[in-house]
Amino acid sequence: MENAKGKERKIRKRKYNLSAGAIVFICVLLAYPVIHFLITWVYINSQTIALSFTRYNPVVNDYQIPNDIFYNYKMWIDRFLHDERYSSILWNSALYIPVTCGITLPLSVVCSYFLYKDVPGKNFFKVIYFLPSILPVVVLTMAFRLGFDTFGWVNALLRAIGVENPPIWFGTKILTPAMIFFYCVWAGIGYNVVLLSGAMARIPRELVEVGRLEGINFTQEMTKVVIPLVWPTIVTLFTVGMNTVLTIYLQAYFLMGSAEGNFNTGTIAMYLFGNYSNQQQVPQLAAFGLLCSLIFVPFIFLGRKIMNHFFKEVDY
Amino acid sequence: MKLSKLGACVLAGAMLLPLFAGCAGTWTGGELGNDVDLGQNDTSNRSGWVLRERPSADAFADKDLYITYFNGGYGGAWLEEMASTFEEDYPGVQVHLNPTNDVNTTLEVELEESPYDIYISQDIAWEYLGARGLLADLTAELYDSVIYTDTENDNTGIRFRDLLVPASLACSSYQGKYYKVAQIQGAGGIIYNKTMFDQYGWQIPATYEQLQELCETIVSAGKVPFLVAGSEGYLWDSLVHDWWIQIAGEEEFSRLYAGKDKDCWNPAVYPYHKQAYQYWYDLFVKNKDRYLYPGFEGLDNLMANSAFLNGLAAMMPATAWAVNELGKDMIEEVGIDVGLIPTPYVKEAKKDENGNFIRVCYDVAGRDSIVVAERGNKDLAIEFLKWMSETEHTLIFPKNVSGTLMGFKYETETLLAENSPYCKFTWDRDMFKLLGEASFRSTGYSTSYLFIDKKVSDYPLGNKYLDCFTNYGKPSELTVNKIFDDAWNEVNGHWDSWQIV
Repeated sequence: MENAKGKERKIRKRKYNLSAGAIVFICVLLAYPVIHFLITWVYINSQTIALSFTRYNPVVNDYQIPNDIFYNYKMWIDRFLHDERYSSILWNSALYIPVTCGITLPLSVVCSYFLYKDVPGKNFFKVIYFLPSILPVVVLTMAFRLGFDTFGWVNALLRAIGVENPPIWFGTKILTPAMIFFYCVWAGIGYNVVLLSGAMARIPRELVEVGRLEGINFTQEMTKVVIPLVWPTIVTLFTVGMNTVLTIYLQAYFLMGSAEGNFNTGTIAMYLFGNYSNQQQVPQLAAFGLLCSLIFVPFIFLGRKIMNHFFKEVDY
Repeated sequence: MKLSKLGACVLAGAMLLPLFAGCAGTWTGGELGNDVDLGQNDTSNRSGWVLRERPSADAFADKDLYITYFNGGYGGAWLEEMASTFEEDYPGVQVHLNPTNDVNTTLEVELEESPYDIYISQDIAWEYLGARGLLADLTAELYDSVIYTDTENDNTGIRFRDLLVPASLACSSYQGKYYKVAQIQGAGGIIYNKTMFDQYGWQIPATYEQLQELCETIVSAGKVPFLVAGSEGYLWDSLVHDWWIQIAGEEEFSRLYAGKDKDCWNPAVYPYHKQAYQYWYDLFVKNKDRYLYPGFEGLDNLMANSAFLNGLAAMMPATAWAVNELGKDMIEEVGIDVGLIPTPYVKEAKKDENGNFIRVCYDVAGRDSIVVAERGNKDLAIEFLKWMSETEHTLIFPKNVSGTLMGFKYETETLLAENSPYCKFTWDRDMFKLLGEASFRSTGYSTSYLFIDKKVSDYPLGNKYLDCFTNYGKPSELTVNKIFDDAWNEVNGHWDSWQIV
């Protein structure tokens, strides 16, 4: 029996032809990602799932499973369906998908293409686009907010040109979220442009020249040559953009100076951020986060799948 | 393919394992523990008080005291002065201060590992941390410890708990134990530009009707009566909650915070809050275009304060920290004086036996906490708090922080004395006078689990102040009736499922 096992081991060793040093090397190489995965993914997520089925019990000052194990989930479903305060959080968050993927990303592609086409002052524009991405978000939001405040330079300019009642940019239910979206577009383009510019720079010149010989114009070059060739990068940015539905909060938080989500600006992540210090609510927040993920993650996968169907990945 | 399916099953199993591994036990029933004794000895006459004999520094094995505090609102000058004075009184002891903008994020981990000895901040989840054993139980060692002996009253011991104002004592215990010391006592109302008032000869309103008249007078003078940050709805609580307490009286107001009767959210049975809210709505929402600065909805706190300092409006709703937020230096630089108008009385306000309105106040600031880490230098930390409660040391705070007092009892005459170092602006004098006059002050704190777990609040559906003002391009359709009816439906519909014990 022992002989058979030893033989099998030898065969396996011969199959991969690995020396002891190579095996140690592979183990060391894999150790970090595996441990990282186990701790930050398996452990954290399993704890979150477990917590979401509990409630804080003040009698023992601990989290325990209540009689109704789905209490937190039922509570959130009820709130999402019947309480505008919470349903609006989902809607506000969902709106970041079209803003990020439908406005910021296409604009970034166009901007990147212009930079790719060697427009005069290309490097200057690169800095302009990228500057918002390297400044701390707190500084950038403050500068943006001060510009559009009641006494900001935008309203001063509007008054100077004869607009008697300039808008209250950060004080109404519809305009305020729109301003936050506007900020996100403005500040978000730079990051995308850098990544897309890098991808476009790798496009072989010959392919572009063939297109030119075929007589295609700029628009055709962008849509028929450049975009298909950088499509994997676009899909990645699209997926990251869709993820904002679950992750975005800092922009709205700093622009409104509150985690309460004044004027329809609350998001999923902001709700978690604003309530996490209340330890008693942790199980509810875990259920909230998981339920939101259950709602939006399928859309993110679907979006990615659809995007992958447009163009086939090309190696060059 | 088979392998990946197997892998997925293993992962799913690993993730579900904790569910069955007893990470959360089954539900334990029982009582939450008795309320603490809130009784206090008489402290009205301090003439015969003799201070305790303080221990020397040698009594403490560890002579280093580490304090971390939230470096907002009240600044750090008061604590720096306290630290240096404490070091003088206890030679050999060293106090190390750590100002920070965020106490709470890492607080629980710090308390478990290597904590500071004292934490001073807002929003500390002290009930939870205390019950987890991470905060020192201050009941016996601090709250029951004798700080003074009253030689004119049968040598009665004046304990730490006797030195606190009742509202500060009432908001510091959980499940029968004291875990925190209330840092602040203050009051809300209306901050006014006294320089402007003096210039135009406007009178301070004592009643709601007089406030209405004052607004009209200010408008007719071509000025704007009120300004408020559009981003900070809670500022209106200073007026609305005061009116609520005025109408309801101490007992009925406190009944809601007991969290035991859902009818407290039913405006048909408990009308006081709705009445107060209606007063606010009638004065400010209905007259928004005349009484409030145009475009105030678009101002954040910083901009609103700046606009007020520059005289764009005569008044703002204010909390206790208003002057500190405006900035003492800024007020002096602009060259104005500011004062506090106590919330004017509404006609339903309760009266005393002499027919005078009873002065009450709601204090948003009163929930800030001082806590001691169980695993820190507990003995020295508690000694510091005892020392802090001594009369002369309590005065260090108002000397450095405009118009705000710690949670201790103060002698109003001392604060308001001529050339008082505690009164820089008219605001300070007005505030101390108001705190001295108030027969009931509430921080709106509740020990009810429903409040602590944020299932209910005094506003079950948020305060809605901002939503009453604006709905892009047209007036808000939100009415007081809708706000309170929705709130009642929410509470009534969920009350049973919210009960946990």
